Amino acid sequence: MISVKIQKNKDSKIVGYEVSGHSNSAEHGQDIICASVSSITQTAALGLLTVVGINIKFERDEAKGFQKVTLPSELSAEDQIYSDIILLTMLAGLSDLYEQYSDFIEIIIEEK
Amino acid sequence: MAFILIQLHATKKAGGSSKNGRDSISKRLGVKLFGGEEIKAGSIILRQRGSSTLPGENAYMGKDYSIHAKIDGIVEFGEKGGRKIASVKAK
Repeated sequence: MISVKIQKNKDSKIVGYEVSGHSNSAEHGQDIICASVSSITQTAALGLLTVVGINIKFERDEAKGFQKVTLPSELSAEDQIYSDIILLTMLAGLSDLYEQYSDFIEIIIEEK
Repeated sequence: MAFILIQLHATKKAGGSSKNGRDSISKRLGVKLFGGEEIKAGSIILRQRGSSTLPGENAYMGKDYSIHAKIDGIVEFGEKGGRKIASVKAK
């Protein structure tokens, strides 16, 4: 089961996310669910980093199947808008995936 | 070097019986509304199999374990005694 934890602050803004676990829906290299979650979440990180240029903290451990993104506590108003768009799009994609493969993915919204 | 590791969350086991091609039937489960979103009385907050998430304040569980809003309000997720809780805060 891949666990996706979305961290929100008191204003319901996404301030980070953590993805851990293995989908176990197929062998490594053929696991379409893992590939989908990996692509959606790492593309979001890539967008924050390289498209918007937000200095996120990005942690990843391939062996453990773990990644974590933390946004800086201070964001400009403009960067906040861009990060909202990127992260809410990511969440929309993950939610749609979840509805199709809820045996293999869980989404947890954590309010800080 | 590529940034995206496409099989970051795939099991490492090689060989063994391949579950390839297995496609689970869509269960339409999942979180329908997220923390902070507005909801109308009666609407579904989330569908689930079993009761991994429990209804909190101003929420109730349907026969199929779905959690619904009792009142119009704002969806709130949290945890109580190690259990996930979905509640609705009055606006």
